[in-house]
Amino acid sequence: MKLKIKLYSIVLVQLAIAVIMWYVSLDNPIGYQQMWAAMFGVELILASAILYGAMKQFMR
Amino acid sequence: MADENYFDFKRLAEQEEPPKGSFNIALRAITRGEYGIDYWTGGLLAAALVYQVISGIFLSFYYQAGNPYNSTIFIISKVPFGLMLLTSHLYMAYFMVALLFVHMFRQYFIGAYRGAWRWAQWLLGLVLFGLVYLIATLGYMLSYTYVGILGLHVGEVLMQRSIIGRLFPALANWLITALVGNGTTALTFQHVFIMHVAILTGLVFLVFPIHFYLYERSGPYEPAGLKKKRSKEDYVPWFPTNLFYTLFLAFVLIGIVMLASALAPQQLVQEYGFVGYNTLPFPDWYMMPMYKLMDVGGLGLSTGGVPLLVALGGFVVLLPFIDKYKGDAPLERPAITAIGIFIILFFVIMAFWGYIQPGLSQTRLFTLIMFAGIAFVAFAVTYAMKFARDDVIRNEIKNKTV
Repeated sequence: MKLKIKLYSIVLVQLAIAVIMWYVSLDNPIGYQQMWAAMFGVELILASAILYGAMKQFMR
Repeated sequence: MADENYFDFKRLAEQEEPPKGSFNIALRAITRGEYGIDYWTGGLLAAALVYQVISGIFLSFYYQAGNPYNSTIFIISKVPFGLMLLTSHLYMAYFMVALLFVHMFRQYFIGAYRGAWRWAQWLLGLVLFGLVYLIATLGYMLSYTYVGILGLHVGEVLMQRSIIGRLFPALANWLITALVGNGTTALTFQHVFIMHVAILTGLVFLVFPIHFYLYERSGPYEPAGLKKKRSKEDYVPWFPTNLFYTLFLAFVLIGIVMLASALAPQQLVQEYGFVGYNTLPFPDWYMMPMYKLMDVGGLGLSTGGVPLLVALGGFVVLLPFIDKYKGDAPLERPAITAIGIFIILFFVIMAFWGYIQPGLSQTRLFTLIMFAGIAFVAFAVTYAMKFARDDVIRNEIKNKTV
């Protein structure tokens, strides 16, 4: 149960970042691209955390 | 050590019962012990390759071989996300080259090049190593910076002064023309671009599946002392655990590259042909050891630089056939381990030296003394550890008998 809460909260954070990424990409894809790439990097690392958590669960 | 006659190609058709690797099942279950990053350096390289292909396809939409520098500037300043695309393509290439070394030296130190098919896997791995190095170097030339063009010229000189160039100069010149065109910017960059994106990358995609197939057939290398019988419970199914772990590592790698690109975007150096006072052409870090070696050893066939590289290259190619040690641990193969440490120290020292004193040549004697010093450190440390280890084992046996 605790793991589920953790995974869902990561997804929520990802969703929030994704909305900002969407806004940035439409607003100024050249000027703010570094900000966008940093957020994309964080998104990927969060996604990897979800995959790792799920993998550990399946390994039990 | 592996069974006899494992160099026989006919054995590839033989089926093993039960299969050691995932040869007959694409989705192989692996043991819990294999979920460690050192088992997955090859997987990381594959992830890097996929990223390079995807980002490279996007970059190729905007790159113009006839107008290399300005189209690179266009990608950086006018294309949406172009700077991040180009920077991440560059940084992933750096990671790929670094991972090549990690992947190769891991197999080197644990002796994974020995055994049925592992020798062929090792040789194909070396081919991939050379191809990726070439692709990375050619990619660096594509932006028409002064470093890239000077690197291209050094490559041409090396070909002219190589064994082929000295024995058959006309052949070397023909080869240079075939590879890099007639010297005009448009044709040269068309050639370099096609080699970078199609010919050499195509070769990687030809060799890599065979390399991977051989791995799947053999499974991860298990040193003789650590081999154990496994039951069904030790295995974890491929789906979803193995898939999730692969994606986990790939996402972490790409995530780190994206963060690095965001924090330190690529700065394009000056275009070739501009007079830059007080600027020294620095090659990229992975070329730096070779560049410094040419500084101190010279470019020629009879001088120090080229023969040393050829000797080191020849050694790693012949390694599966000359390693006759019975043991598996690095200290049970002391000479091989010491040479490996020598190669690592040599590359690191030459790279640092290159950055500190670029273009400063040394006398042959000084260079030889330095190489002898590195060799002494590598061999002395390895053999001291080996003797200490033997001593501990002898004492343990003695204590047990007492």
